Amino acid sequence: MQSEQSASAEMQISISVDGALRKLDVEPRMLLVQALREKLKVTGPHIGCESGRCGACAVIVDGHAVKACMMLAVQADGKSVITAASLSDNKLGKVLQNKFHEHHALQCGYCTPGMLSAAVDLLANNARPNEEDVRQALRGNLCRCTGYQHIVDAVLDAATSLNTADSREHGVES
Amino acid sequence: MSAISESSAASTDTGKETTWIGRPLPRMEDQRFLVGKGRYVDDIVLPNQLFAAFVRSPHGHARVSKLDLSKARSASGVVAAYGGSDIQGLKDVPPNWVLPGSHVKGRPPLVRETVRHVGEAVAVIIAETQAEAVDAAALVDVTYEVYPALIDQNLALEEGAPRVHADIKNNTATIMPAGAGGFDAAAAEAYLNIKLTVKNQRLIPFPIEPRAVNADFDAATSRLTFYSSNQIPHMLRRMLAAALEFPEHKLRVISPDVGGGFGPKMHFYPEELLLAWLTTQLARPVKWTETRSENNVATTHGRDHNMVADIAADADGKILALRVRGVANIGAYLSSMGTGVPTINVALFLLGVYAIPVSEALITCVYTNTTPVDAYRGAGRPEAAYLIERAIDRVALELGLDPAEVRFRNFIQPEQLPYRQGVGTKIDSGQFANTLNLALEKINYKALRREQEAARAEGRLFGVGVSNYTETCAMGFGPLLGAIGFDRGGYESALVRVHPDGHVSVFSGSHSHGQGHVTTFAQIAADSLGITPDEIEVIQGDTDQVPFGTGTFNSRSVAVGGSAIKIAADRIAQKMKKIAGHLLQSSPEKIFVSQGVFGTEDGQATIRARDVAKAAWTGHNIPYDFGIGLEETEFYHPVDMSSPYGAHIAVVEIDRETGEVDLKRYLAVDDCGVIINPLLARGQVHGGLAQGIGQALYETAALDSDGRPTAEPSIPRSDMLPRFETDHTISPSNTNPLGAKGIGEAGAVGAPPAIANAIIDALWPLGVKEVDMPFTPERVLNAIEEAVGRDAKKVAAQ
Repeated sequence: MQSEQSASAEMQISISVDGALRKLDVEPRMLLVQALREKLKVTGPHIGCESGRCGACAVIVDGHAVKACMMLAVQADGKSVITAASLSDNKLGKVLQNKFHEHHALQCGYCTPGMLSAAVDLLANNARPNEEDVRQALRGNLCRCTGYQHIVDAVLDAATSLNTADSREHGVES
Repeated sequence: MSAISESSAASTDTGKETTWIGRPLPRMEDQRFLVGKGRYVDDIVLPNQLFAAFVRSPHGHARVSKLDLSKARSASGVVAAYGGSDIQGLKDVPPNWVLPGSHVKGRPPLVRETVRHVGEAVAVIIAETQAEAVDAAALVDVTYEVYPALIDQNLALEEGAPRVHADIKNNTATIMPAGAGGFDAAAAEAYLNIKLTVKNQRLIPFPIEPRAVNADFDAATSRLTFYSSNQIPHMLRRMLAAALEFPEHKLRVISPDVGGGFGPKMHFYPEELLLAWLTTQLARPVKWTETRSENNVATTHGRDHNMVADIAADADGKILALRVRGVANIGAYLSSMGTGVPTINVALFLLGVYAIPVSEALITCVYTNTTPVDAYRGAGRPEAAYLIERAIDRVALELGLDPAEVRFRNFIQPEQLPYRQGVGTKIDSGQFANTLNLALEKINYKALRREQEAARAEGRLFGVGVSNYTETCAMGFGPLLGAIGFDRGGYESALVRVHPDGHVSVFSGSHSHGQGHVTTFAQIAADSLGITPDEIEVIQGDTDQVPFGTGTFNSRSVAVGGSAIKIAADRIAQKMKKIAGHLLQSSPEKIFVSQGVFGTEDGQATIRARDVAKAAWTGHNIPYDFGIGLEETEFYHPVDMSSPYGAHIAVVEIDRETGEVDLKRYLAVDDCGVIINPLLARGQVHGGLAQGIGQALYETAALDSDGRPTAEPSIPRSDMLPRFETDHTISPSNTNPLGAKGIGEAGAVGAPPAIANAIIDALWPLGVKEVDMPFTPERVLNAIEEAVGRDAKKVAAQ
């Protein structure tokens, strides 16, 4: 009985979501993705499985792509969560969104927010990935519509475009 | 030779140049998805929302001897709980395509007494929150008397097999013959006679968004608003209204953004009927979102069709006669299209794009203790293409002929088109030899054969596989559908409205679940109206807004739905020319429209489209008999269907030691008629290929002896697929004014036989003649070892 009570006793946490500090009460068992969707009405992260394999819920937590169904909301207390809604606030996210559009890298759109999170994580850590790097980096995100090729092309093109922009900026500076 | 051998004649018949049709326009609907603002059913939370959770049977065949809901009913937040005995008034969910003479068993909304498949719902809990509903579901006390489950359809047909339904003999739902017969006589004369056994394994369709429903009855207005992640809003409304005995005009079905469909979301499900009923009982909105483990067992599966073929051929590889016996597993109950997909959709395509003089087929649909099987991307055509394409290759390999050459020898010739095959299909158009030639040239087939020779000399297992699939898309013609028991219309609706400011709304009865209708439909309307796509909004998925439509399946949206838009928009353009002619004091025939401006032939006088539109909606300055408004509705009803086809080539190398298949190259040359948007068409090809390659190499819904999936479905990841090579030939269809055919399912139809043929080509020298999908390392290795072992035994015996 006692354990049931403690399971349902809510805890207050605060998370920075898309740049805004949000305070919320959650049961300890509540997943981050449920807290985002149900408590905060941030519905970009989607639920596509219950085993952590589909990646539709992936968000950026403190700079890293995390499957929001594999993390309890209480574990995100004090952390920063970036979802697709604010990805365009940084250049990397914005370029990836544009390249996904240009390359027709999304169809039903359900996997897209998670796929973008994984791609942001990749390019933040590897500015010049090859095709194999991209395919490996996205293997935790299932897409049933595109066959992945347009997604891979979009990520590679985003990398090229960011590198070109970078070298241009450096060129101006030097 | 040229890839594009015929121009897009379809758009020139109006004397207008196409500006937008044919352009690789990125999608106009992308933005909301990119920022996570897509609106799927689970994103919708209504005031006073209630949540449903189901208790589902873990057994494939059982009797519920006790169901105690008392603990669940008294749990925190629970509003109601129901078992099978609490819903006496609710009928079974009926199928929608019932082949004449079928023995029908619909899906019960909840188990009444007997469980017939794993995942069948035994009880439903309604609570204030999702978590409370799920918690209470765990408190339901169910006792099952478990019986042996019938899983395999061939075993279910055997003499003395137990019955899935007590009153259905031999577990047989329907038997369909096709073709004119005469196989035995033809075979007696043939040089070569082969028996071929092939299996299309059971698949789990796995849209990334599972099903979701939110049913909202408003007692004050007696209206029921029903949100469902669904491909066919109007059909769902009709089926739901009939089953619930609810007036159709008070039932509004909304299908917002849909996170992938692939077939399973075009059926009417027990959960839908139940939630619609529950909201009328509780007068509060009730929502249910399927979990992935529910999706694996409660949403329909695909394929599961076993076939045996007898093939008779002459010494040159010309197939003289084909006889096919199919046994299809339809699961425990008939889902919407349960009897139609394995019969009509298979039998009609068994002859592929070949002129085979003698044919006969008999297909039996069998009940088992498994999840119902229904349409999944391709829906019957993959099964047919797999059989005929494997058959062609087998003939070639047995005769020592090149499989591509044997295809040329069997193709329907251009002068024979349109061609009626012995199984009843009418192939409308095509240039089969040209398409295959283009594919062979693009992949450099001759060089691949040389490479294969060199690989074989080194003992490597290298294979090349060709498939020339065909299918029939753009489903149409009501009387024909009626004759085969398919309770749907064969048309699609469009309403095109030019607003007084010149902007345009297009309402379509077709419904996108990722295909990009908003963009392709706007391109079609833009060409008719002489404006740009960004001035057009496409609205779909709401039965209160859109004229009665049929929906998205059978790769029919562009060919049928797009044609409806073109016809309606052309009519409006004519009226606008008439108004412009009047205002410019010229005859309408001399008025041209371009970039939103109407003008006379000589370019002397012009008027903006918005001024024409304003005149139409005000009635100022135009003759009374012109009538008011710029709005047209079209229910486009094609008399014939289209026949997309293609030539696909797969190149594999197999590791002799591990059995692993390396899919080195995959080329798809498809002919889907006139292409509206090549970028989006390529997206459809890629998606279909991923599912077709998935079926060939990875996916199976293998069930244990109780009917439970033995593993999570192996959906291809980004690192499990090759880079696809694609191209098109264009043979416009003459069955619709766009000349379009359909491309949504092509990849899923063409890929399995191309890969199978490549694998058998690689293994043929070892004596392997048959392997079943999915070609996992274990299966390939077993096939090799069995063949090599068999040979070794032969040698020893000598």
